[in-house]
Amino acid sequence: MKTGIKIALSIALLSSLSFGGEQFAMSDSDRAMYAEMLENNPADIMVENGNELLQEFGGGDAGIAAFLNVTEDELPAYIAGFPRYLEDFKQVVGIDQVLQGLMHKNGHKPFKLKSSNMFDMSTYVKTLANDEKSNIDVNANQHMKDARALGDKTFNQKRGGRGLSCMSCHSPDVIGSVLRTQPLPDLSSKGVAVAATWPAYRMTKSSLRTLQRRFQGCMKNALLKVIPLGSPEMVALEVYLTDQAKGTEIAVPGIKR
Amino acid sequence: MGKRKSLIKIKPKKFKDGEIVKVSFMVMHPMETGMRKDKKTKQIIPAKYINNIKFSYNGKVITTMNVWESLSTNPVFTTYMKINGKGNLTVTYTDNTGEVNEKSKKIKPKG
Repeated sequence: MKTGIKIALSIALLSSLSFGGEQFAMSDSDRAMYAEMLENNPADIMVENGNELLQEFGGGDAGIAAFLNVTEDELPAYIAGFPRYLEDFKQVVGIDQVLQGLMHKNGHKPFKLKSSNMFDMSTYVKTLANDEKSNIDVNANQHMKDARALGDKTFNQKRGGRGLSCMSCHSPDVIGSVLRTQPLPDLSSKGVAVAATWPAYRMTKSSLRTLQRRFQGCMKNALLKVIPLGSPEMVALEVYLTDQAKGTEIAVPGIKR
Repeated sequence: MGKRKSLIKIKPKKFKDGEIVKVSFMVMHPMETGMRKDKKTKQIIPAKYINNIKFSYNGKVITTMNVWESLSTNPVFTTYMKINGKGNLTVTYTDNTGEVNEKSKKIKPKG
């Protein structure tokens, strides 16, 4: 009964926020400004820092190519297919975990997944795949199938005191609604290309963030328990969203509010 | 203080031999003027600013700039240059405290 009231209240709150969306949405001149910012992305300097870090700790592009057992020419297309199931790790991993493994192999102490150095480095590795089409294969093996299913489950799982799931705010029904002055994007349909523009520079945080880190921020604001980076559920969510964006051109670092 | 984050950016991204391109160099630098006080300790923060930048391409100097403390934090320096074959673009910048740093980028013209 109590939770029923809570849910009703939260729905009432949400609907009241969605009132008057036009007033808060970005104007055309604002959009033009954002487009200009894409040309001069502040994250470029961080990506360059990631390049230097990879040179120092991982042996550069050649080092990561050797670690992944591909040639340097195949590397961009291979990176466009992450997260992948790798035999060395015995699990589905994102680029950041691969970099941790690479650093460990080279005898360095790996960066923490939540450190800005790791964000810089993994973004640099993803920029190698720029202009490639995202080619994640969720039917490659049983592990990837499981990850996709787990991602789907996590996306729809209602959690927390308010019983909210990702689907509560990112279903096709919410297009046009506004939450905290921002129009809500639909993330549950096939062909949603958002995952191809992450990692991105977030202007409100003045820093570079990865997709998994973004999920954490969303969970925190929705009063859900925050899932740690690199956990199977988190990687599965990334697999789920990357699968939606399959076939779109990768353009990182993106720029977000 | 470790090494500074810096970036050499060339526009347009894909260029041909003989083309004139815009070269931007940005660096994360505090650019302290020596006129500011630390709010907590009430001590003057010592001056630390870039005073000389040198752009060189394959060992040949293109541009030198003498600048002062009036520049903002994390400055951006822009110049134009003509691409003349493969090579290395190097930017050397010097502090008033004598700190010398270097950043280089490989230049590969296409076509």
